[in-house]
Amino acid sequence: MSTPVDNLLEINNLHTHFFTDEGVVKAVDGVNLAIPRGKTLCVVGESGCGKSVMARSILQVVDRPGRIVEGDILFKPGAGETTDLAKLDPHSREIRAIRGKDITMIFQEPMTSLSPLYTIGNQIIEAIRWHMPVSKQEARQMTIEALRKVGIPRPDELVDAYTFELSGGMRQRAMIAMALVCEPKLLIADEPTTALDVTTQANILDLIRELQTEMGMSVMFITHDLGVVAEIADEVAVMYLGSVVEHGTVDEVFTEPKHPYTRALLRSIPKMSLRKKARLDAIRGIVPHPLNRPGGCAFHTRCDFAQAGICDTLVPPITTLASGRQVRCLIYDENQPVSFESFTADDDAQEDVQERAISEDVMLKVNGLKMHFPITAGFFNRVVGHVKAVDGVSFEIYEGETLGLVGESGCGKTTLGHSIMRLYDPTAGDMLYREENGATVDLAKLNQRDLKRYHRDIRMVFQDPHSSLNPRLPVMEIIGESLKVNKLAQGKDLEKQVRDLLERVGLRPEYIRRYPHAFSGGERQRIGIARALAPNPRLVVADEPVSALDVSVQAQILNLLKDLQAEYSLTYLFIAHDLSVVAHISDRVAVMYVGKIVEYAPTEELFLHPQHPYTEALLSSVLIPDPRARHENRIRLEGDVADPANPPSGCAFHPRCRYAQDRCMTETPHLRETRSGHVTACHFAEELELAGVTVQDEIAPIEST
Amino acid sequence: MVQYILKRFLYMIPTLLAVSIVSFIIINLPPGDFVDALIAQRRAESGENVTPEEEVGLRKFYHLDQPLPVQYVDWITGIILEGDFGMSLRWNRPVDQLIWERLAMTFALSLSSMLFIWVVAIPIGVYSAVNQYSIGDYLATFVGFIGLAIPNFLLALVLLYISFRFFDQSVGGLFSPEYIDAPWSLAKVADLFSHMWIPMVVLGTAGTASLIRTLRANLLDELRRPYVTTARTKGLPEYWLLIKYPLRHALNPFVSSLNDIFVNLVSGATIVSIVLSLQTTGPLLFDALRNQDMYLAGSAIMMLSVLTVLGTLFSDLLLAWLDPRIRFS
Amino acid sequence: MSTLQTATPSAAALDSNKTDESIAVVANQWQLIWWKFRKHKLAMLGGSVTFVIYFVALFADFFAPFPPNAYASNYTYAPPQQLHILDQTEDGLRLQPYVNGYKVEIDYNAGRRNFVVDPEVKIPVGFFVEGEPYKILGLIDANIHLIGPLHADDPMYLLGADRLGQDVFSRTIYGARISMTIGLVGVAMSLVFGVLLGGISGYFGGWVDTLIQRVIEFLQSIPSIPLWIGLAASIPVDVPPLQVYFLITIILSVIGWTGLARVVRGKFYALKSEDFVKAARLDGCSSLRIILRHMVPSFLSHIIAVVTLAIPGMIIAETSLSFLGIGLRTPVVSWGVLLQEAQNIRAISTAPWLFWPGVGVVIAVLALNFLGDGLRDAADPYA
Repeated sequence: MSTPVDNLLEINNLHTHFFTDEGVVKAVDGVNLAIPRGKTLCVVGESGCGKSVMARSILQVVDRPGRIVEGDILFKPGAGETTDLAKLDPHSREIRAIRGKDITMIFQEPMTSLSPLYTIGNQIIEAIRWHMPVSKQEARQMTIEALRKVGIPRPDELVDAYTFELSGGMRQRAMIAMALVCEPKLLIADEPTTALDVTTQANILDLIRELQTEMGMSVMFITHDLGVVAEIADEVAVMYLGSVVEHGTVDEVFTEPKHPYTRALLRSIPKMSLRKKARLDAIRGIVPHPLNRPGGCAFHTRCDFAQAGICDTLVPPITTLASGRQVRCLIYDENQPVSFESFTADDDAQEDVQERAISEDVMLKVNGLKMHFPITAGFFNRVVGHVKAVDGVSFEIYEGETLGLVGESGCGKTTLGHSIMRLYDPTAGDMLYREENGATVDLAKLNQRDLKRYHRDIRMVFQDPHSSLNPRLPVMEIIGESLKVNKLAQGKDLEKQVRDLLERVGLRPEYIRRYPHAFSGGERQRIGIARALAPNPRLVVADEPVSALDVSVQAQILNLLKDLQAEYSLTYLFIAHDLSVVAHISDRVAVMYVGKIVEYAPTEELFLHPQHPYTEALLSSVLIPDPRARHENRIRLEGDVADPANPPSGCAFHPRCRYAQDRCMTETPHLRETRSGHVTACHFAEELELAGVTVQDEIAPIEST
Repeated sequence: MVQYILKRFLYMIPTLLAVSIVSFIIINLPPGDFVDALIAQRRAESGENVTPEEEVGLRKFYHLDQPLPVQYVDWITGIILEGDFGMSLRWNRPVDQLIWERLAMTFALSLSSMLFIWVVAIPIGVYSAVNQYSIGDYLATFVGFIGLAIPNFLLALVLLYISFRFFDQSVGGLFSPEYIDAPWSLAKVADLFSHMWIPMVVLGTAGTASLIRTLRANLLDELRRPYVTTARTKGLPEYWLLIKYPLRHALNPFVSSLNDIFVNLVSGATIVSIVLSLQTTGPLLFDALRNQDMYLAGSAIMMLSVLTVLGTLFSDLLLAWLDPRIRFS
Repeated sequence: MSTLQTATPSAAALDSNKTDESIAVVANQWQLIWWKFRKHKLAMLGGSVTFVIYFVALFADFFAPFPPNAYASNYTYAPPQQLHILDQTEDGLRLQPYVNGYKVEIDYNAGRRNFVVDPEVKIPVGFFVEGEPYKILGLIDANIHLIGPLHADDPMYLLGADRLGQDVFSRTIYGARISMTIGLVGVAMSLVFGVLLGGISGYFGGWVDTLIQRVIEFLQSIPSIPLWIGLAASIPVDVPPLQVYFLITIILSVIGWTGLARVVRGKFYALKSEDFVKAARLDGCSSLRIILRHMVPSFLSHIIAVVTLAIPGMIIAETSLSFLGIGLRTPVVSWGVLLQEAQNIRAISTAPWLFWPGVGVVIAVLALNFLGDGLRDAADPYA
C-alpha cells in the first residue's frame, strides 16, 4: 500500500471501551484500518477479538455501556468530502443520514436481526422512505426489485411474508436486500454466513460478490472463518484482542503470513488434504478476556516466538514492510532481537500420529433404523403427522475406526446420534452391538434398565460445552457420576480416577473441586470428554464436539480426540457439518440427507470420487483457506433441506438435484455398492461423472523471514 | 385467522361448562338447601311454621328432590334456554332481573380501570426502561412497589377517610343520590363517570404498578435485541425505532397478561365495591352468600367467571391480531 | 482481583490461564446466589425487615405489652400516647420513660365521651417490665415484656385503643403471628400441590400434562376473590378458629398452586431438554436421581423466589377475607380481623389509628416483595 490508495473509510487509532461494573473492557484498543473504494476487506480473528465492536463503532451503534473514547473514523463518500463519524453524536441527524443510506450493515442471525412482527417488505420500505423522497408505491416497487436482485423467488408475493415464513438463507437474502436497496457505498457484513449451512453460505457469498461488482461498493466483511476470507477478500486485516496485528492483500496474507498469530491461525485449521492424518498445529491457550489483556504484545502469552522480557513488556508498533504490508510484531522491529529462529520446536514431532489398527469386526451394526416424532395439534393433542427425522438408516461401525457423519442442519444426524444412545426409543429398526466378548445384543430392543450396562461401553460427547455440564455440580461430580452410579468406584478411588481423567484430557487434577463456570469453552469440552471416558467406553458418539469452539481451540480438541483414540483404542462416531473437520478425523464418511444416508465410503474415496450429486454439491461448497483455490464454477444448491415431516416423493434430493430425471421423482433409490467399498443411494450413480475435491498441497510452508 | 377465532370459541365451551359446575358446587356447598333457607326465612319473618308435607311439596316444586346431577342439568338448561337463573330468596325476584345491570356495572368498572392502567402504565414503563437507573426510574419503581403492597380495600378505606375527614364528603356509591333511581340519561352517565374515577384509581393501582414493572423488564430485554441494532443501522430516529420495534415487541407479553389483569380487576372489583358500596355484582354476591341466597350467589359467581372467560378470549384474539407468529401457527 | 465482590463468575475473574485457586472457581450455586443477592440493596433491606417481622411474631408475647384480648371498656378509642424517654423534672433531665395519661372531654354535639391525652399526667413506663405471664414458644414460663407501664393498672396505648379499649399496638403485634404464618402455610400448601402436579405435568408430559394444564388454565380464568368468598362463606359459623385457619389456607391454595405448578412445569420442560440432563441419563442415573440431583437444584432457587413472591398475595387475600368478615373471626387476632374495626367510616374518622394493622400489612408485603425480587434476580447466577 505504498502507492496512494483511494480509501472510502479510514479508521485511525480507534478505541471503543465498555464501562462495566467490573472494570473497563477495552474491546477495541487502537485499531488502524482503511477500506479501499470498491474492494472487499475481510476482518478476521477469533471470537472476543473486538471485530464486531469495531464494525459497530463505524456507525456508532455500539450497545451500552460501550462508547468510542478516542480515534477518528474518516468517511470519504466523494472527492474532497470527509466526515469524521467518530465525532458525530450517535443520535444526530447527520449520522442517521449516513446509516442505512451510505453505510449499511448485515448481521449473523437474520432471524433475530429482523423483527418477526412486520413483513420483510415493511422493514425494507421503511429503510427506503427514511432516506429517499419516494411514495409508498415506489418504495414497494423498489423493494420488490431488490428482493428479485438478491434471488428471492416470487418477490412480489414474498414482499408480504414474515421472517419466520422464510428459511435461513432466504432471510439473509432479505436482509441483504434491505442493506443494498439504497445503494450504499459501504456494506458492513458481520459474520453473515456463520449461522448458515455450507451450501447456503456459498450461495450468499456468491451473491455478495456479484452485487459488489455490479454496484461498485466497498465491503467490510467480518468473519472468523479463513475459508470465507480466502473466498471473498481483496484485503485482509487480522485482529487480536482489540487491535489489527496484520494487514495485507489476501494473496500476501495467505501465502506469506507475517504475524505469528496469522501463521498459527492458518496452521490450526484442518485442511481438505487427504494425504496424511496429522495432528493439527493448535495455538495453545485461549483468547484472554479483554479485562485481562496481557501487557506488552497481547499475543505473547500464546506466541511460540515470544521472548521474555521483550514481548511481555514492549507494545509492538505498527511496522510497514517494504511491500507496503503492515504488521504489529516485534520480530519486524530491527531494534529487537526477537525472531522466528528463537522458537525451536520440532515440526516433525507433531506429525507423529500413532498408527491405529482398524479391525475387521463390526462393532455396531445399525439396520433400518427409524425415528419418527409425532406432530400433535388441537385441544387434545391429536397426532396429525410425523417428523421422519431418521427414516431407515443402515450402516456399520468397525472396531477402532472413526466414522464421520455429515449433512446440513435438519438432515437428522443429531437425532441419529441420540437414537443410537437410546435417548429416544427408535420407531423401528435394530442396532446390533457386539460386546467385547463377541456376544451381540440389539440395543434397540433393550429396556432402560438393561441398557445401563451398555451405556458404560457407549458414551456420548455433546455439542454445546455450556449446556452439557450441570453448572451446579463440581467437576468431580460431573465426571465421576457414571462411576458412582454404576458402583465402579467410590471414595478415594473415585477421586483418584477423576484426577487421572482430568490429566488424560489435559486439565490439571487440582481442578477437581471447581465448578464449570470456572472454565472456558474448550476446557469445558475437555471435561465433557473426560466424562465420556470415565467408565472406559469402547464407542464414543461425538455430536458436533468442536462446532461451538474457536478455530484454535477446535484444533486442540481434535488433537485430543485423536490422541485418546490411539491411546485407548476407541471407536468414534463423529457427527459434524464441517467437511474439513470430518475429512481430517474420519476413516470413513457417511452423508445424510433428510433422514437417510445417501452415500458412504472411505474418506478419501468419498472426497475424491463422490457418487451422489448431494455429496458433490456439499464438497463443492467447502471453502478452502487458500485464495488460489477460489471456485469459479461452484455448484449452487438451490432451495432448502426438505421438510422431514413431508419429504419429497422418490429421491428426497430430487428438487435440488441438477441431474434429476423423471425416475427420481417417483422411485426411491436405495443404498447399493456403486464402486468398490462405496455405497450410494442414487439411480444414476454409475452414469454421472461427479467432481470431487482437488487435493490441495499444503499451504506454502512458512519460511523464516 | 378465521380458523383461529373458531378454535378459540370452541376452546371456551369446556371452560364455561366447568365454570358452571364449580358455581353449582358452591351453591350446594353450605349445609342445607334452598328450601331450608326458605323455611328458616319464613319462620323468622312471619313466625309461620312449615309442615313436613309442605316441605316435601316445596322440594318437589323446586326440583330439589332430584339427585344433584339432575338438578344441575335443570339449572343449566334453564339458564341457557330461557335465561332463567332461578329465584333470589332474599329479593324474592328472579335472579336475572337483579344481575344484568350489576354485571354491566362491574364490566364498566373493570374496563375503565383497565384503560386507566394502560394510560398510566405504558408511558411510565417506557420512560423507566429507556432511562434505566435515572431518578425517575427509581421513583416509578418505588411508587410501583408501594402500589403493589397496599391491598385494594385498604386503599379504598384510606381514600374514604381522607375525603370524609378533609373534604367532608362521602365518596361511596357510583351515583349521586338524585340519580340512583333515575332512568338512564346523559346526565346520569356523566354522574356515573364523576363517581367512577375513585374506584377506578383504587382498583387500578395494583395493576398499574405490576404493569409498569412488567413493561419495564420486557422493554429492557427487547432493547438489547439484534433487530433494534438493525433498525438503528437503517438510520431510523431513536423515538420512532423505540415505538415501532422494542415497544411493539414488549407489548406482546403485555397483551397476554392482559387477561390476568382483567381477571384480577373483576376479582378486585368485588371487594372494592363492598367497601365503597358500589352497585356492582360484588356487594350483591356478598350479601347473597351471607344470607345463603344460593341461586343468586351461584349465578353471580358464574357470570363473573363468564365475564373473565370472555376477557381471555378477547385478549387471545387481540394477541393473534398483533402477533403474526400466533396467527400463522 | 475483585472476584469476591462480583456477583457473576465473569470470564475475566476466572481466567483459567491463572492457576490460583480463587474462591469463585470453587463456589457452589448458593454462594454465587448469595454474592449476587448481596449486591441488591433493597432486597437485603426487604430480607432484614421480613426477618424482624417474623422474629417479632414469634416472640409476640414478649414484644407486646398486653395480651391480645385484654380490654378496658373505660378507655374506648383512647388516642395514641407519645413515648417520652427523658423526663423533665425540677432536678433537670432524668432517664425515666413515661407516657401521658388521659382526661375525658364530653363532646356535646355528638353526645359522647372522648379521651384526650393529658400532658399533666405522667405514667411511668419501663423496658423489660414484669407483666402478664406467658410461655416463650409455648414452653417456658415468663412474664417479662419489652415495654409496659410500671403500674399494671395504668393505661398505656402507644398506638391507641379500639372500640373495646384494647391496645392496638399489642394486637397488631399479635396479628402478625396469624397473618404472616397464614401466608407461609398457604404457600407451603400451594407448593406441595404445585410442585407435585407441576412436576408430574412437566416430567411425564403427554395427556397428563394436557389435562393438568387445562385445569390450571381453568382455575386461573376464574376470578379468585368471588371464588374465595364463595368458598369461605360456606364454612359454617360454629367451626373452631384453628380449623377455620386451616380451611382458609386451603381455600387460598386452591388458586395459589396453579402459578407454582406452571413455574415448576416450565422449568422441568426446559431442563429435560438440557444436554446435562441427557448426560445424566447416559451416566446411568435413575429417574429419581436425575430429578433430585440434577434437576431440582437447578430450579430450587427459582422456586424459593417464586414462593417468596407468592406470600404477599396470600397475606393480602387473608386480610381481605377477614376484613369482609368471612375469613378469620374474633377472638382470633389477625391484621384482617383488626381491620374489620376500621370498616365503617364513622369508626375510622374518630379513631384513624385503627389503620395501624394496615400499615403492618403494607410493610410486610413490601418487604416480602423486595426480598422476592432480589431472590428472583439472583436465582440464576449463571445467566
